[in-house]
Amino acid sequence: MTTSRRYSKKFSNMPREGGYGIRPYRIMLTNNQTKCGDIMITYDELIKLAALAKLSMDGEDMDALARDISNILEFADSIAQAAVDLPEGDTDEADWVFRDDNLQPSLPANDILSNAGEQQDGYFVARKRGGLS
Amino acid sequence: MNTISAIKRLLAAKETTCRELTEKYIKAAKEVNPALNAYISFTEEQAVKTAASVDKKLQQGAALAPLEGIPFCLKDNISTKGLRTTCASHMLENYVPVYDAAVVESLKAQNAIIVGKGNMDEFAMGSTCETSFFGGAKNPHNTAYVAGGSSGGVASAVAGNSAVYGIGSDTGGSIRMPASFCGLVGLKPTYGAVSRRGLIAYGSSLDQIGPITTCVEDAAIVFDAICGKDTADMTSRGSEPVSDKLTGRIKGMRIGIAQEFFEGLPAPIQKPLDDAVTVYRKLGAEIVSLEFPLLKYVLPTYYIIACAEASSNLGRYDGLRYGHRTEEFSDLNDFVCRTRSEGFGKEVRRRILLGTYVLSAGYYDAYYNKAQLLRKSIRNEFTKMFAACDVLLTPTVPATALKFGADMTPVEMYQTDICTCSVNIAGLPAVSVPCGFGEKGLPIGMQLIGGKFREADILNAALAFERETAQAFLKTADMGVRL
Repeated sequence: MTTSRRYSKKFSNMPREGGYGIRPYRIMLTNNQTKCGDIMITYDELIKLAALAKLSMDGEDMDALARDISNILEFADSIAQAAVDLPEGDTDEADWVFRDDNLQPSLPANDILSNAGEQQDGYFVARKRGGLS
Repeated sequence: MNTISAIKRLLAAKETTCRELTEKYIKAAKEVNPALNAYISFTEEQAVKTAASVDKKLQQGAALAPLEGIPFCLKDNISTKGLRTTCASHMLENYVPVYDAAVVESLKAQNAIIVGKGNMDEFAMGSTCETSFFGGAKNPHNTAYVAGGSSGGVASAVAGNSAVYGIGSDTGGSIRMPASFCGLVGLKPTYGAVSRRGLIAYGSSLDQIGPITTCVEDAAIVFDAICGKDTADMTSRGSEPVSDKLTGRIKGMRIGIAQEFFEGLPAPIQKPLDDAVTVYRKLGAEIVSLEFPLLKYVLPTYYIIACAEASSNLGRYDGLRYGHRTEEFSDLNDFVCRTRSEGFGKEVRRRILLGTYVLSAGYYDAYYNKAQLLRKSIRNEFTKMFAACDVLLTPTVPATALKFGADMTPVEMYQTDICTCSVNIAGLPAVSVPCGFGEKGLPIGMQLIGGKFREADILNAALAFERETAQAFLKTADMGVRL
């Protein structure tokens, strides 16, 4: 089954097409993929992405999530057209300030462990199983 | 108006004790909170204890530090030793830090009085404060509207007169937007001016702590109290105090206007900004026309970098050392995944996924690397603009406060940051000052952007406007403490 929907902007105070260079967007939904302009996120890709991000997809509204992610990627994709004209040798300013590598006092172990769900003999405890097999 | 100087005068003249004042603010905060949802928690015990020591100093006739005895609201992503710090997330609902953030150390050293921890968007990800696990903060000028995000609770507390000032954080506009929506002054300092130690990280190359106040003078006082170099934050450089440089004189100052910030701006927002330009001309400023063609790439650049950094920073929440942990799981990997999905809200999960996507092999160059190149180009454009002007004038937000519960897509929500996030990309200071009221009587903000570590320039421009307009646009709501 293929579903097709059109989403329109609802933010009445914000500039419409042409304002701030944001393009209007249209999303086509099918039962296993979301298409948004040139960007398409499949369910399989979404699940792979979630595994990389250490997130569970249980209980997620996959349609809504795929639509949102595709929509945002379409929006982010506009930078592909940007010509970057940097002067030769242009580098980031030195925002980093390094300190001497000297031993400094650290927080007591008991303090560090105070927020742990489970601790034993000065260690954090990670269980192999819990309720589900 | 309950300004810092006004309260200091009351304390010095012994018209009130610090304890009476503190109790008044705590009572007001608790009374207005059911309507505003500005606070996540109250810190009454510590506040009363601090007030007692301030009263002791007053009895001895000792001079008080600039913020000594002044009640304030602290955003709940800033660590407070022994006091719950939730980041407005289920993930950290019961987290109690074991150390104070650098800014908290500075404020405690002055005997400043924390009334409570301010509501916010979860992990500071949002523009309306509605992504908070505890429900969104309301706008005290009209509770049908949002207070703005992400430091919405802090702005709501100050505008609702349950705190004299507030401390927020700003990654893409999170101090300036709520200040604009609530008719307050919000200062985002230069990146590195204020230590980030103890600020729960979102986008580390963009985050900065700053004040939300009822007037420009107060913003300078609070900035002076919290700025400074910190060896435990390797991006910290510190900054010179600005209060003694505040003159309000701007004759000969070059104020830049880049038209791109004004394209498509609704007329009710444009009008007060035009009026502000007229005020600046009258005060002897030179108005300079500028171009900022890269503005159209600012939002995608910002969201790619912010989400990439968020996906990395939030990787630490695994349920083992602190934070929420799931009860039912099949193995350790399942434990971590379920813990994170249960602990994080929808918007946080979405940004983590996006950050993971733009950092993944195959997409890294197209998104993250390209965004970093654009970041350099945007910085270079600002450098060019600041060769031609001293201060840039823009809208803070191209809208007044949004209706609470408005049905918006993520992209529509992100667009509200269009005028603010270029400042974070370039690491510049910017202040939002009230400059008018919209059709529904809701405040409108004007943003003044300065060169790096030029806080004095933008605050002087803001003060000049505030004085010339006789503070006509500074307004707190008719609730809370009225001194």
